[in-house]
Amino acid sequence: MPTITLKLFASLAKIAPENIGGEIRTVTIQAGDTITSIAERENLSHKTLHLVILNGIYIDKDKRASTPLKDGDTLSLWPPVVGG
Amino acid sequence: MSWTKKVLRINLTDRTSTEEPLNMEWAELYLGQRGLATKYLTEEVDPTVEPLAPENKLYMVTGPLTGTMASTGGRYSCVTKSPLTNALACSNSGGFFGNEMKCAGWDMIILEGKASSPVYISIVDEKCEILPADEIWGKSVWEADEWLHNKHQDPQLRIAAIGLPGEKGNLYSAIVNDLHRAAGRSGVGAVMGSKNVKAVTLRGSKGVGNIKDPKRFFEATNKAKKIIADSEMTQGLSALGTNVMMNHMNEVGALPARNWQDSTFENAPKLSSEAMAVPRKSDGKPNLTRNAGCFACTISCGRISTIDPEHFSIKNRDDIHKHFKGNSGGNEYEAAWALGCDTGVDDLDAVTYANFVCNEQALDPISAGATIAAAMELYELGILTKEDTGGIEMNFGNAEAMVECIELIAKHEGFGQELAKSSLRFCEKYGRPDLAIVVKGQEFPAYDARAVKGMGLGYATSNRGACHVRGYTNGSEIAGIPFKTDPLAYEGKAELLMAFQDTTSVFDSAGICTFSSFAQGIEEVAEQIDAACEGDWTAERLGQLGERVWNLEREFNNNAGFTAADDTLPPRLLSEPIKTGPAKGEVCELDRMLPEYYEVRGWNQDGTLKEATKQRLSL
Repeated sequence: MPTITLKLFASLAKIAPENIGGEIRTVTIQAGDTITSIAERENLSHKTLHLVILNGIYIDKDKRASTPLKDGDTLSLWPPVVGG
Repeated sequence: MSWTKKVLRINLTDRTSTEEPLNMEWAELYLGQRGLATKYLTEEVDPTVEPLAPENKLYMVTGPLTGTMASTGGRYSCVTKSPLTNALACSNSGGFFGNEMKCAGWDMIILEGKASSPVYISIVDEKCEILPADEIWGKSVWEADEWLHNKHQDPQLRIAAIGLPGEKGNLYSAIVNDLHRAAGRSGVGAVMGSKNVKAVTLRGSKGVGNIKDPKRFFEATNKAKKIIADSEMTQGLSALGTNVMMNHMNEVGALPARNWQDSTFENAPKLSSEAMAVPRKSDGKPNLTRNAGCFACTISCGRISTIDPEHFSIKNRDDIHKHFKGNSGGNEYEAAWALGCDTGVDDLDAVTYANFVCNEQALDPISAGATIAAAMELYELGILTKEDTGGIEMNFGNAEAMVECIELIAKHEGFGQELAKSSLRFCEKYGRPDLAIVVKGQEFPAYDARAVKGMGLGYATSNRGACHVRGYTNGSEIAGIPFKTDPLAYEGKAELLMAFQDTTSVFDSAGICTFSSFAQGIEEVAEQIDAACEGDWTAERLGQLGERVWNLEREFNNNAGFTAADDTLPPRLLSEPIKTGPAKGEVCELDRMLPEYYEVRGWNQDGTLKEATKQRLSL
């Protein structure tokens, strides 16, 4: 089965030594899965997702429901964060 | 109103102080803090002055909202000519020093001349004394702070001080207030030290009550506070601190490492805010103790942390200040990056220790870390040897070497004296100025301009040398504030940057924190200023004021000898493609943005201001 690597950061991740570079989940995907469908399946509400990075590239909010996922992708998710 | 309309001018040469009225014509054009002090500087100081000469002046200045109930209204700035860059210096700090200045009845304190021996300045409301500082000269900020509090028997005394490096002319020495808040960049500490001033202590009892329309001000500040409190962005800052950017910038391939040879750092997670929250094995406590807020802050982004008691930097050491075995400020993203990723060091406690040293001795951790990183590259190239370093093996990733270097810089001893000259002068000495990652002599912060193009244009054109908080287009390009733009695109970045630069100038001139701009806009700021200050203040007027401040700073630098040739980037960013990660192959093609930037700014292509621009902005 095709899978993607899901990486959850900041408050989306549990505080643990193994999660300092993101809480990593290996998620099985099905044909037609998108960023939005995976987020819903993983119980990540749309509101908590601000920064969505697919293989290092930011994905706009209006493209998340139409961006398909493929085997081997890395999907990194952040809540609203900013720094300086 | 809201301004106290009083300036305290201190002549250190003849040890006198005088009260004078604030120039309200200038206040109407430049508002306060950053803008207003820059106007004073341009009118009073020859732009070609030697920065560490008595003829240079140091302006410690608040904005009209400083000390009021406006959210984040605790800011003050140190404005002077920088010894690091020879350009304008404007370093902004939070904490509680700025509001205390207003409570003592002063908008601005001007230090001019040079004392014949070490002094500190004690200000209690109208009373100003210039007192001997022989007993604290040579001491750290933390030691001086303790001594001053004991001497004055006042636990609420607010203190801004320099450490030993500032006394010795370290070109990136800072002025630290409230133990770990810093006017950090551009070497403002060296200017204070050159005047033989160790510290300024403040105690005010007046409050800040001179508001034009108190009821409307109360409503306007409440509205802004709610916006800031309800913002998911600023909530994120409170929960995670600025260092939440560590993993994020790494994931998008814009986290410089090993003196910008790389744009991702494989061990960045070990330095992240996520790592700071994980309990350690030795005592079961995390690095992060709690968050901390400045005066009147709704956000509280500051971090307070501790070092692992078993870590080599503090274990079995009786020669260090007690705070090293307790709490201090940090790690912020920039400090963690410069002392960590840029030096290749992945030891969170070593980075925390080095950051504490920067707090204790008032050093800019960005420039300090970046200078050590440049030295490490020279060492790995075989240009710098152990004979030069006093035996330190300066390989990237060597935490012990990084710690030893920061200690030598703090003590201004041995090899540390060479590193105190900043990365550009250090690399020039060894014939490789191209390895100094600087603009106008100031070291870069933690965003790779090859992967975030607007930041490249921002570094090149920043009036104080490379800087991220003069025009944080990263907010738009990476974090999506106020809207998302493509970080790899060149188109539109000139206008985007100008908007960020001018808006930031307004926040920095008002007395509030730029981090509040992640939530509130210039409209909310205008409502608060209009209710607080005499005159009619609209968002449009403030927008033009921000542009005026930026152009005034530019004019000062032009008159100091800077030209368009100085609006550039280090060769590495212009011509060495990123090796790995999502931005692989990218360089920063500055010439695709700079001409357009000059055009939208209303400047000539040689970087000078057009006469029409000067007239439009009443310069």
